[in-house]
Amino acid sequence: MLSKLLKYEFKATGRIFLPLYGALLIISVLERIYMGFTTNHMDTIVSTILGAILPTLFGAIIVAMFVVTFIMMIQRFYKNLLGREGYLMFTLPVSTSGLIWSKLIAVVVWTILSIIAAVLAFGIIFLNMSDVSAIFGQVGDLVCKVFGIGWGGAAVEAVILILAIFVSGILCVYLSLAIGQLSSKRKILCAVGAYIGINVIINNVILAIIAGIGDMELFQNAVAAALHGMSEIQITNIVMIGFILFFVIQAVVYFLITRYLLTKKLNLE
Amino acid sequence: MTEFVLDIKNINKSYGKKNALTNISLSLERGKIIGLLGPNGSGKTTLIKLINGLLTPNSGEILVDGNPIGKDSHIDVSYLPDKTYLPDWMKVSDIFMMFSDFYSNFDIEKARDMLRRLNINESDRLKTLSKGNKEKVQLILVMSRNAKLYLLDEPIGGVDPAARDYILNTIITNYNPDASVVISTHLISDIEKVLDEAVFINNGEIVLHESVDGIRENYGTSVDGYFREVFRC
Repeated sequence: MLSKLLKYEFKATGRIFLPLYGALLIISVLERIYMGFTTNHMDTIVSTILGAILPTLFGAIIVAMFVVTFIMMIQRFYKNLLGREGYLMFTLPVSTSGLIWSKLIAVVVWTILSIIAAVLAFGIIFLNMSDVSAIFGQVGDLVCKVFGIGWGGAAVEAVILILAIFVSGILCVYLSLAIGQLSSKRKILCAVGAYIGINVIINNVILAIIAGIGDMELFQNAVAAALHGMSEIQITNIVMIGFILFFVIQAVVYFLITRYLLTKKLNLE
Repeated sequence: MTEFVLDIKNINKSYGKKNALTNISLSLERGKIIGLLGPNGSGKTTLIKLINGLLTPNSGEILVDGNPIGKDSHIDVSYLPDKTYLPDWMKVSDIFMMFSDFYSNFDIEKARDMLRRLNINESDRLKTLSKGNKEKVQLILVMSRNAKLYLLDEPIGGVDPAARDYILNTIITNYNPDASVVISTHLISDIEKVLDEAVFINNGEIVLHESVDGIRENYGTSVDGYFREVFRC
């Protein structure tokens, strides 16, 4: 059933994102053609106007893409699940987990696609084919070097860490919205309050506990003993995995509470 | 197959301090058309939303065909909400596809046939339809499913009398001995002729559950007449 939910989630969101991507690529190509003309000293009114408009449009679409991604993240959850459309979504024979997953996966995929579209657009404007192959070559070399000297694992961990931070951030917003819907009158206000509350707890309380443990001599001695004789790479690996776990655990907790609230405490108006 | 298609046991539901439903128990047999009748704010919509899992009770149990409310009950319940709830940007054909993707018991040919009868195009966007036509599309979706329990919340409020007749006719001809239809409304005289049973609800409590014939025999008046007597202001 998740695949069907995803199908309709992408159908609903794609009608916003795909035209944006299309517009971005068209503007990039136009800008590229325009730049080719101006280097040939074609100085007309039209080219002056285009010279002013195209970069502005380009910037506006890039900004719009990421603003839309952000708004979509909130709106697809708030409106499609907790608003009137929730009457449809919550009476489908699907699990609550499926509903949350479909929203989450769609946001992650659209964010990645938006980044790719932005990179592609800059590439169209500024790069030649020879530049592109040179860049790919250099990136390839860099990757080989990083893996060659044993830092490949850390690089992969860094990518996973970014993804974990992103996903736990989205799930934190979902949880806040799910808490907000418990209130019968001030849903949005409660959601904002819940979001602030969760972050205060995570940033102050939990980090204080971790710092407190870190301060204890016993702990420090244990860590020093454990790390003794390890290489820089191994220590980095351990630290990275620690951070990944910190965010993955957050994400799992957010997901489970959200699912509980939407299954056992749903309060659709 | 359980004896009752819907079995509600001791449900309580409050919104904050305000009690919406107090100790409701209700068992519905199969093959009946039941009117859920009560004045505005009596708890009709709350009760229906509980059966759909859109609200959760403070206490008590609800079983649809023996299943608790969830994934398994949703497939057996075909629900018409009292408001428009379909995503506006979809075409009628999109929402038909969505229903046939998710509900194995959705009969798309039946839906297309009803759509033609009511002169609505499958390629129309829901956004461009009038309120009445949107309601008709929602009703078509609901009645085109071979469900075990149909819950229609104010199904005839917003449509013209001709469509009203067509809708009631659809409900009667859809008769299936395994399925029951619950119609919530306060427009009793319009639907009285199709009802087998009536449930009166007032201030969150069920005050009567009886067959329509029983009401006529025992009280010597129509359901509409008896309703006016019970709920006299």
